[in-house]
Amino acid sequence: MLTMLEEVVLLAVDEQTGRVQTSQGYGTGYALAGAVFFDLALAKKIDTDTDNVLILDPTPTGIAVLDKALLTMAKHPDKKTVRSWIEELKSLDQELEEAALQLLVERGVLRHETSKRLWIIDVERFPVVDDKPQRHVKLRLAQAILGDEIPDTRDIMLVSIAEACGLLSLVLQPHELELRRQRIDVLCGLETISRTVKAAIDDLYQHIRSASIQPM
Amino acid sequence: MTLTQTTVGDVEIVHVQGRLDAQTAPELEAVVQAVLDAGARKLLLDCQGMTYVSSMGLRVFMVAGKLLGARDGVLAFASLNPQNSQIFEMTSLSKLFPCFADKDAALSELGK
Repeated sequence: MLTMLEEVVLLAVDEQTGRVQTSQGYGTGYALAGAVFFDLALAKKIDTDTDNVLILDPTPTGIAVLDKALLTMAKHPDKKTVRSWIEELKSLDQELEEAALQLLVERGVLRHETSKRLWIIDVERFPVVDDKPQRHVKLRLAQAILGDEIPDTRDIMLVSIAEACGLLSLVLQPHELELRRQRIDVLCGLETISRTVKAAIDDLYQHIRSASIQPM
Repeated sequence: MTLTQTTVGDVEIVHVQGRLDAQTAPELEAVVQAVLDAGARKLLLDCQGMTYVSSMGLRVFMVAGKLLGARDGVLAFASLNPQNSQIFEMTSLSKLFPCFADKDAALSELGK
């Protein structure tokens, strides 16, 4: 089974071009940090309440990128809030994305290609080799949003992270998203981690907006 | 955490007392599963003595709700203290599941 981090990154890979795309670029780092949190929660390594993170089991999961995050958290028991850890892990966004892409290449889901643009600039692409996992992720997202029953825990987490980094538009049409806005909001509110990711992204955009209207 | 079970008519009631967290969530999960295995379609979680609930505890509620929904059943909650009511509001659980002021109010509605 793919990790939540892999599922989110896989969702962002354009199956035609092999490029990683998100429509909410600045917020993607927070969403990837949230995905790591969800992976650790699903592995029963951490638990959260409305504000704080509790380390339940600092032993490795066997997935290097998750274990690095877990070890960092275990070394700083003084840092307790979900928000502070989301901010901390967000700074590793490039590393998280690269690790997820590497895992997907190792699993045979993606292929890593490099080429040169203008003979100088390295360009990386990750064409989809096996499209079943990506189709499965998209199907689960669509079913979770368009259905009326309570989704699986993993699917609730996936919806909330995909929403946070603007990836739902890759799965559903604008009118479908508009029609199901209330359902999406309910699903996104269910988990502390996704509420915190959303708050962090909202604050970031507020900060950017404030900075852009500062008088010179 | 202490869990006690009672049955009133066709409503199975599980009284949850104490902390529902990573340590205790599996206990509630097992009790809920046993209730469902016995064929229950109406489950009331009486949370009068529930002093704390973590994300892992909330996920047990979601799983129970999903399983009951799949059999046209209902999961309901009663006697949430102000702190837990706030969590139910914040997480939208109060939009997914009926919540009642107390057990009697829940039973009069679920018993219909």
